[in-house]
Amino acid sequence: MSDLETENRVTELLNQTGLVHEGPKRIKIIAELKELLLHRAPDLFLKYSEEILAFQNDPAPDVRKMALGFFEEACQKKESFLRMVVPALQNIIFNDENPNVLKKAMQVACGLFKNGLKWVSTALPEEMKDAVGAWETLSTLRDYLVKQIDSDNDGIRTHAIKFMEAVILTLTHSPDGKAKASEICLDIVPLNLRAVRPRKLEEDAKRILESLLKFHSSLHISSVNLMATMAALTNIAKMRPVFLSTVVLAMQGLNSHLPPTLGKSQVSSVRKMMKVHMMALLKLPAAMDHITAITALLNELGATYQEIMKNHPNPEEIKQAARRKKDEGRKRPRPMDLDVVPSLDLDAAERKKRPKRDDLEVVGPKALPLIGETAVPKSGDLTKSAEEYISLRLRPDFVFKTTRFSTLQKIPDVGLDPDFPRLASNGLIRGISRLLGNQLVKDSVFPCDKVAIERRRREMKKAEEKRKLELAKEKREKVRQEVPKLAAKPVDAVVDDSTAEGLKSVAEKSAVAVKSTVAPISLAQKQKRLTNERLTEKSKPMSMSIVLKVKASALSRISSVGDETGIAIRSESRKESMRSAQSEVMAGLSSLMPIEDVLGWVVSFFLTDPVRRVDHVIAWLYSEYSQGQSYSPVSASALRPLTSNDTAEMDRKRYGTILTWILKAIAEKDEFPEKYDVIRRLFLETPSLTDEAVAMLSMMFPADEEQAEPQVIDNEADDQSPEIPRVKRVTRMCELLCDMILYRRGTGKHTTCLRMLLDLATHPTPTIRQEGLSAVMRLVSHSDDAFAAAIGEFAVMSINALVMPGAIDGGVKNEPQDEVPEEEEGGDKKPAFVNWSEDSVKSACGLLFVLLPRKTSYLFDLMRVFAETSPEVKRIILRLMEEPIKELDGNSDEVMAVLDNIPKGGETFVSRMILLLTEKAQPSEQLVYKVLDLYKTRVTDVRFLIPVVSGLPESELMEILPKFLRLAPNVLKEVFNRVLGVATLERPEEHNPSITPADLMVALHTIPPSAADVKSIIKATALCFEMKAVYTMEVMGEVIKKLVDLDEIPTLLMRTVIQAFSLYPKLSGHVLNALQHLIQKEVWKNPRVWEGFIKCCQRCGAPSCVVLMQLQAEQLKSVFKQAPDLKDYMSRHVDSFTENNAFVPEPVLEALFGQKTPRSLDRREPPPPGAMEAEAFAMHPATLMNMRPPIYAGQGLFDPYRG
Amino acid sequence: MGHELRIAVVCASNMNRSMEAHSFLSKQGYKVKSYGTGDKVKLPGPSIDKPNVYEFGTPYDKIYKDLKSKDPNMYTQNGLLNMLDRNRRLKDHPEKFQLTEDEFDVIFTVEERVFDHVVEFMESREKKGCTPVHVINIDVEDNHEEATIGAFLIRDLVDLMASCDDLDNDIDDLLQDFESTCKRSILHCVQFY
Repeated sequence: MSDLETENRVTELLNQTGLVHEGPKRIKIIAELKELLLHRAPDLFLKYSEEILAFQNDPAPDVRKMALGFFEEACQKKESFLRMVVPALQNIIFNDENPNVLKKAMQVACGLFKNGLKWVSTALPEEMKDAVGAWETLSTLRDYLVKQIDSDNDGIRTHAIKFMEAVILTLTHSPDGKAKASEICLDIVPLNLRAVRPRKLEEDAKRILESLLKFHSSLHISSVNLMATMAALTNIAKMRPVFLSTVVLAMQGLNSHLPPTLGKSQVSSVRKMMKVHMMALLKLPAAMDHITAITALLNELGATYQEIMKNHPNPEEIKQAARRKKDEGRKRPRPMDLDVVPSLDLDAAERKKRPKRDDLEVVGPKALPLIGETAVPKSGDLTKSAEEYISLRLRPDFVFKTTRFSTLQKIPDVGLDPDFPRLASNGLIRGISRLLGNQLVKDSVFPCDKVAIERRRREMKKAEEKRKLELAKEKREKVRQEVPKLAAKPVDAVVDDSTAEGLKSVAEKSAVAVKSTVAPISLAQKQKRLTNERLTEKSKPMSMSIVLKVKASALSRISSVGDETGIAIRSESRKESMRSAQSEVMAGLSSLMPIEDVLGWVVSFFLTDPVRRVDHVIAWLYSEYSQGQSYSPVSASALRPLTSNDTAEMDRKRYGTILTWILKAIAEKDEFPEKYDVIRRLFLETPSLTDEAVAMLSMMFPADEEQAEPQVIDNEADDQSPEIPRVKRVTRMCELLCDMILYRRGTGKHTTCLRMLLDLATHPTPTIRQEGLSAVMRLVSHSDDAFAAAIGEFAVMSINALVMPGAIDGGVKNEPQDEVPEEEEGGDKKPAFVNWSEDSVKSACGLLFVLLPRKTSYLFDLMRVFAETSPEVKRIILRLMEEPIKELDGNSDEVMAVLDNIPKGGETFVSRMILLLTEKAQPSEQLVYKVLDLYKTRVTDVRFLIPVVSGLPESELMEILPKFLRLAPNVLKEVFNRVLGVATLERPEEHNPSITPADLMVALHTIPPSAADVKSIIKATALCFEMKAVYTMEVMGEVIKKLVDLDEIPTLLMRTVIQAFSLYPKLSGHVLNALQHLIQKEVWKNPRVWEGFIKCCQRCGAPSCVVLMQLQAEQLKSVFKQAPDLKDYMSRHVDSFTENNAFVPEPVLEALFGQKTPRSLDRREPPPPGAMEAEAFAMHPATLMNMRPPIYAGQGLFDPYRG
Repeated sequence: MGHELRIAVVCASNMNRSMEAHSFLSKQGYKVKSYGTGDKVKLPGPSIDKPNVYEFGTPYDKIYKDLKSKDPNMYTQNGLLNMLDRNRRLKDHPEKFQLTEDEFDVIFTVEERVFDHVVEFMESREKKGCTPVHVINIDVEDNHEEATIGAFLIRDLVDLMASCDDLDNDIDDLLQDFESTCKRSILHCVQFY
């Protein structure tokens, strides 16, 4: 095929690519093009490069891959093609999304990178610019691809590892500069090349190696990548023996710390591969220095002696190598070692300890010398002392700090033991000091003065011993206290110290303890880490949005488990445990999500079934709370995606926000029967309440809001709402507040709650107030004095408001949650006052009244306010105070103290109080005298004495009695009642009045006219007569007798007698006796009594004749003059007299029958009809009682007195 | 990528196990080749210490005829002739893995020794580029029944791999899952050409 034919074919093929669209066919075409352009006519490539490069954008991934292979081969043919190919490669690497294409591109990049270096090193001057440009682009690509070690795609990571290997090999010098001809490495770079700085590139290579090692030792590495990395490292070690020690270290580290994520068979695969690689390393001549380490590792990997020997370098070779080594001793310093050590420190520490542990366990053949010992050329004591010198100067905490970062990456996320730094640093210090020591000695920095060394060594030994003693001491304590804990840690370096025998035994003991516990623990830890790491590895690479989506869907799935739609779980206990697990998981999950995502979800979740889901929500709140307080071991904010406004501040507020939202949601939800139970649980069981949450309480009970509207206070109608009656809601709220106050003490919120409760207790609406008050009472009875004091203070403040001109208009109603609505705000707002109504006064006083029986000292406050307030309020208070006062103990000290300190204007209050106090119980003597004293000194009003009147001594009573008579009849009656202990006392038998009813009556009659006018006395007696239960017939008889016996006849005597007689006709005997007595007292001398006398006789009718007979004629005449009817009785009476017993004085007869009476002529006239009766009466006065008075039954008799 | 997978099945002699899988997979339409890693091709003989030994490269047909001439009865009884008959219809002769230049995406081995050989060979050969290959070992006993079971297992695994868009990324999980379903331990490593 000639060139022309070839070209024709090429154009034909290129044209075909425009027409053929199936991938496989296009691949065929490209394969042919490749053949033609690269092998047949390479010159044409440049001509058609544009068309070829256009394949990089082909839609089919396979075509793109093919094209990449094409490019690579082209560049291998001629480096200058890089100029075109590198941008294409860059385009694909940066823009292509197909992982397979990317992987292919990475493979190609390996080759191109080498080609690039070759080109830039060998380019002709005219190409130099392009070459340098391509190289720079390649370097950028290199950095980018190296970073792909952290890619999401495992395969890409694998390729990144391979790429790194290629780069490292390319950017380092071959050993001894004896690279093979085909190999492209730093050796080919001329030293004078400006564009490429070999030293810098070597640095880069080391850096890349370091990141490769880091990846190698990372915990989340997959088994594929681990093996790839091992292969890469082994390859590097093979090709660049300078890194051999590093690689061997890394392998040892890996062997002792295999990633926990590996499965069982993966572990065996990895170990198998490691064995293969180590065998390969063992064959290397350079492995001489590490032969013990490698052999040990192989031993551990299960290689047999024969296998090892098979791959062991020839002893002759070893000797040769040793000789060579001695010659080139200077070549040893390896900056690489130092660079790498920190990142491997933990492994190093571990490794250095392992042999020791083996020693102790006496496992035998496994006991190995420290690695690296053979690596150190035997420079003898000097090196050793240099090591010692350095190790003494490296403080554990310093070492730990400086190497901490890389160390921590390998530590599983369990809490760091406080001892960890020291223990971890021990091995580390040795490693570092050994390396530094070598370095110092080699660079002749370390002083070689023998004497100085000796001296220093002595010092060091001393210090060392001291340190060891300390360590041993610690160790002993450790062993004693926390053997299991120790087990998890590496055994301390002190263990193998042979100088202190005592210590050794301790160490051995601890080692035994370690042995016994180390296995299960580490296994368990591994298991734990296994799952942990799995999770992090799996979730880490996901994009945040996916993570969130997954979390959200997980949440909703978990949440739906409890719904009965799922599996029916019969056992109640299992259901319970499932539910708790469910809420735990959900809480944990949702607290890891950004608030804006999860909040709406949780709220709607909650609202769909609040009763059952409140548990979940509470669990969630707990989880949030512990996150917010950073109680939980894993910080949620660390795991939570950061959004722009998700700051630390937000984080702190997160809990509060969530709580507020949940509360708001439930508050706004329509009524349902358990609503208030749910609310109650939320308020009582959440870990902490924010101020907003407490403030929301008012919202929770919308009833309160409704009536906050300034409308009617009487809310009877509202209470009949179809839902839960408002009063009931208020009851619930009060209960809740009460419980919150009691159970949420110490949070600072209980005071707010208390204030709210108190506001309810002073609410203008009676029903609400009643609920509030009873809740307060419950609280007071439950709790100690602290609350009582606060409540009391509030109550006092509340009544203080009464001093103001009026209630604040709408003050309470509009802002039910206002703190102390009336008084505190009053001054500031200059509110409009409305007149105090009974209700507003009630609301102000109610609380105090409730408290009063518990703490009588509030009386002072009440009294003080009473004294200062307006008459209207006074009136209301007097009316209201009845109930609370009645419950007081009238004899308490406080009451007495109140009596001692009555403020001006408080007298009414006090008298009302005393009145109420004595209503049911006999006033104590003390009280009586107090009151009496007050009466005499301050209160002139006699009414003041009424309450204690029953306790007054008789003399005082007599003195005061006239004053009482001036009072209104009902008051007077009350006085009498009290005096006599009638009707007011529950136990009259205990009543011990100072005065008997009869005495009282007598006392009334003896009141001198100067003290009280007759009318009032009449009224008083009338009152007495009304008390028929007291003034019985017997009492009246006694009264009459007493009155008659008095020296001076009381004016009202006859009136009383007549009245008594008319009430109790059977008293006639007493009456007649009284009349007789009066006659002896010459009653006619007192005209008024005489008048009454006559009237009385008239009432008595015929029987009175016996009495009248004793009168002188003169008086008799006056009698007859006034009461002619008596004359008839008399005449009949006289007529009935027989001769014998009749002795009627003449004047009497004359008065009876006129001047000349037939009587005087013939006394023996037959008696008038009825005379027999009269006679009988005269003989038996008692029988008179059975006579009905014939006349004066009417009322006419007393009329003149009534006026 | 599906059927684009380039598969190799390797056993000791490229006779029974690898060929059973080879036959089975090629029937499923996979691109498959088979190899042996042993020094020689060994087949059971009249007694345990007298195996039939051939060089790699000896055509199956020739071996078939050889055995048939030796003891047709016995070799029919133990199934060797049947097996060789199948083999000769698949390809000409047993191939030695260490001699092939072909590149694969997945290499299956049927016992650990073979796996070791493969890995050893892969390690020792000159590296050309960075193309990865997964070497997977599933232990299969060397008899006809087990070979069939092994072939099924390998087919299952290949099916899984073929259904994978990004094998390199998924292989770890894939193998772990497969391991737990088939309850055999699997060795796996990645090598590079």
